[in-house]
Amino acid sequence: MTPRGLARIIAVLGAVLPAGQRRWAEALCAEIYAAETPSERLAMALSGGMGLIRIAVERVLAGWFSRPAVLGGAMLIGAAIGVMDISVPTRWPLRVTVVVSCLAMGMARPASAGLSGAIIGLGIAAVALLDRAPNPYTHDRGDVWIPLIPAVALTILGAGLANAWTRHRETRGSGGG
Amino acid sequence: MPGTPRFSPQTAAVLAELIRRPSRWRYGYDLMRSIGMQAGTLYPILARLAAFGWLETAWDESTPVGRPRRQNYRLTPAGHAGAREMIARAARGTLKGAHG
Repeated sequence: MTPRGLARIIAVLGAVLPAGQRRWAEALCAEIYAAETPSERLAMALSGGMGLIRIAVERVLAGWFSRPAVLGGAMLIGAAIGVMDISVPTRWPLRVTVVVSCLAMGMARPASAGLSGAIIGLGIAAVALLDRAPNPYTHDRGDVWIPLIPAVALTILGAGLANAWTRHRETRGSGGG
Repeated sequence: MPGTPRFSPQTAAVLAELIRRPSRWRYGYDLMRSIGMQAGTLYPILARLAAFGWLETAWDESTPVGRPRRQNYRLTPAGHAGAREMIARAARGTLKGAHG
């Protein structure tokens, strides 16, 4: 494969990196031209591509784990909903509290959406799994995982709403000024 | 991003190579060959060092037209001081691998 072809692949990969990290893809593209042999170029592109993915993942994880208060809050919310879920005979309190708390968490902390939803969902499951005879899950204990996906989706939805609201306010602010 | 980058033998190798000629700008390919490191290991380390303010980067404006610009790297004064300390601690054996 030509340096141009490999550089194009790296450039496409660079487009999915966070904005501040795209220069690393551009820098790697330039170095592919400097490699002396085709095998060296290919090895550099393959290894460098993996490196770019690693840079992106490290950035995202650093963003999530730099907010211990959000993670702690999500754990508490998940545990509280879990305790309530195994204490009451109906499922409605679970449904309502998952929807309300996950939307609120996503809107309050959009940057941690997804992870906070996953922690809430895992908290609910953890409480039910720790209880020896969890009331709603006596027949099928696998059901404890059911709130996980809606919790993640709802925090992401909440984050989307918060971001849309911020953009709307900025547009109105710049229009009026 | 203030603080100290994660320590690893690979990070120490990159720092040791950069500190060897601290005022000289280096290319990625040049570093890969000098250290004997793959791009997939080198670039995340360079990104981390830059995020911590230890690495200065500059685009090479002399790149031929039609080719992507190369990026140059060298340690900042903070990176130079940090690298010296990290390498000295590694030599004394007081730097623990738990830092990365």
